[in-house]
Amino acid sequence: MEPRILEVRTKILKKNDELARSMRSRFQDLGVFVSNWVSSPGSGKTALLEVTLRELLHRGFSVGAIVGDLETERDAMRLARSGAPVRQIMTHGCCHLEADMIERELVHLPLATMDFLFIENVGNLVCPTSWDLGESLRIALLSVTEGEDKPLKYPGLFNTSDVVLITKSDLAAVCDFDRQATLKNIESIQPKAKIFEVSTKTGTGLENWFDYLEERRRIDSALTHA
Amino acid sequence: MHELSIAQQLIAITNAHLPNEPAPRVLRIKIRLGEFSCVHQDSLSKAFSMLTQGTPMESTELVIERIPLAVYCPACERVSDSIHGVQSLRCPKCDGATGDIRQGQELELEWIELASEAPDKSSRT
Repeated sequence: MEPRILEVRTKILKKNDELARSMRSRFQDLGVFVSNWVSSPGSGKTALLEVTLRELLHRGFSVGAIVGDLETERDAMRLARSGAPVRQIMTHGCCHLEADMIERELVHLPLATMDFLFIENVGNLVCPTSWDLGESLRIALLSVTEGEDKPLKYPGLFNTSDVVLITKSDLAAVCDFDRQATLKNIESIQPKAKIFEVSTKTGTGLENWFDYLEERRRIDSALTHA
Repeated sequence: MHELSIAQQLIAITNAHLPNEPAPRVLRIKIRLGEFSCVHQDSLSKAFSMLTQGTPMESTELVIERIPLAVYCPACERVSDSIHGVQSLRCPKCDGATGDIRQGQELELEWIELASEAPDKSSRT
């Protein structure tokens, strides 16, 4: 007998993709706008997320967050200062979040009454790229201290992101940040990406960012319930 | 090192497809890996061999086909290779930027090859 070939033809991450798809449809039915924040460690994800949670709460929205780190509950504690419900996932070495990790946390959040759910991924520009978490918006953060060539070095993440947040803009001059080169590099990987330049420290650009989130949620909700 | 998670999934899918017979032996597993899949080929092979050590799949060969990147240019209305590879997604005809990837993100298990020694009951009936 000859060796036998079993035709399989399936996506290796099919299980994750299917779960993410069903979660996305659940989020949309409940009117929860979910975003997945990805960046290298130290780009200012947690700081920006904290002010975002505060502002949206101030605007009368119900918000929540899930934050992933290899170890410690420090980020969850920081984010919880905003008053929003926050869940910490400790991955103990795993370099990214997967859909089933998010699903396990959902029972601990008041999803039915929530308007925004923010997922802060593990600080990593490579590994989180392949895992759909059921989000409607993928956000890549790039701090001015990291250098303008990050989109070219990590094209996978920037290509799959809807929004690029250029953070720590108050440090741009000190770092000789090349704005034009950064914008050009983002464009050459994902010309459709919406770009915001923000500083959590000075507040520059934050209003535009909050308004955009609110608008995106409104559009998403109108499309789902049309 | 997300290749470890991918290798785990690959092994799980393979096991789920094995026929119900005593000790089926997997000779080769063929996967399609896009140039833009964000998966490092060598790391995936190493992760696979690490995870299968001491298991029935220890000597299974992982056959990897690389799938080149192709992008769609809305201005030219055509799909073609990106001129600068994965570092800048541009149309070779008009040099316009496009993030619309039509090929090169594959991460797929295509087929599993089983050794002949186990009798294939299903084909006898």
